[in-house]
Amino acid sequence: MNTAANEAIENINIIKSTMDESRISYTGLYKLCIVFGTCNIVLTLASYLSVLLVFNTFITTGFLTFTTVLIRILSFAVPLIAYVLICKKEKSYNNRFYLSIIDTWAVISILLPVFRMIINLIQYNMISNGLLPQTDPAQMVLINSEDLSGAVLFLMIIIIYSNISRKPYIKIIGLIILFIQMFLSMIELSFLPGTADHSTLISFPGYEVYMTFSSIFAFLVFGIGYIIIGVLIKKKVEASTGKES
Amino acid sequence: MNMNEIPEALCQKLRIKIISCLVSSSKTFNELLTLTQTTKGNLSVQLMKLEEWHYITSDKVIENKKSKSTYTLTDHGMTQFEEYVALLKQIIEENEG
Repeated sequence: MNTAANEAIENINIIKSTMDESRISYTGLYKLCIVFGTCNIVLTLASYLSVLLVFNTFITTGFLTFTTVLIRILSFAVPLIAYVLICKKEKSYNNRFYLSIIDTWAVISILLPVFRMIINLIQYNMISNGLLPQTDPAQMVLINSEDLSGAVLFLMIIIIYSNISRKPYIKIIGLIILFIQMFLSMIELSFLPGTADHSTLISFPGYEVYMTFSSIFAFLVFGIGYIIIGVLIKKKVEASTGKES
Repeated sequence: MNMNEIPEALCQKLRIKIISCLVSSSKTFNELLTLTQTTKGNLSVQLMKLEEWHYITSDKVIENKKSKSTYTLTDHGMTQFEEYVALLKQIIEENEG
């Protein structure tokens, strides 16, 4: 191979690697946010609907067990499929730092429901064997830790959006959300099952279902919040490139 | 473009890197600094040269009481770069053939 050809190969490699490093497509990120938000809204509503049906109609509790397991599986299966499909094509050319952040966010978001399901199964077995009391406060601690981790992950996405849009003050919104989530968790953990007088719960008159303030807040943030951030990132991407979608 | 007509702007590796960075979108000075991994002085000199040759344009804005320059590849810069990449491909193909 002659010198010109060697230099040509070297320069092509420089161009390719530099372009790979500099190109960031946020297409996958906004799609993931929208899928994640929609999934959270649909599954949360489905879980409350199944509880309402069981307690207010003649449907058996077996139905509740089935829907609970199904919802738990879907809560990580849908984001996992979306993550694999959306990010697969971006892997080949995107900035590796951006990909690392997305990977961290996606892996934790997908694994959290899996871990919770495993812990619930262990807990269920321990309760069945009489190793734990029926009204186990650990359940509430577990839900609150999951919501808190979710708030931290949401803060991560807000920081990314703040950097994309070059609006540093948006990070404050993320911090406020994290603070509110921590505050609500603190209140709820102060009234653990067995000691609580349901003062931290919202009930629906005529229906046997209770929702905690924390879970309502988590529903709004991790459902509607993710969709809003997804739409905002989409608009930013379209405005800055005019070609990515 | 042929081997003897390669513009001066594309005869130096750092300048090739800068242009490659600007192909996808405009970049700030700091972003270019991170991507090219060079010194501030060297980057400034090469950016000035590329601007003189009308390969790039710069846009200065004041943000948080600090001036911030954003660099964009011009149509002329993009055309020259595309022709240069086509030339490199041709050289490699000819050598392989």
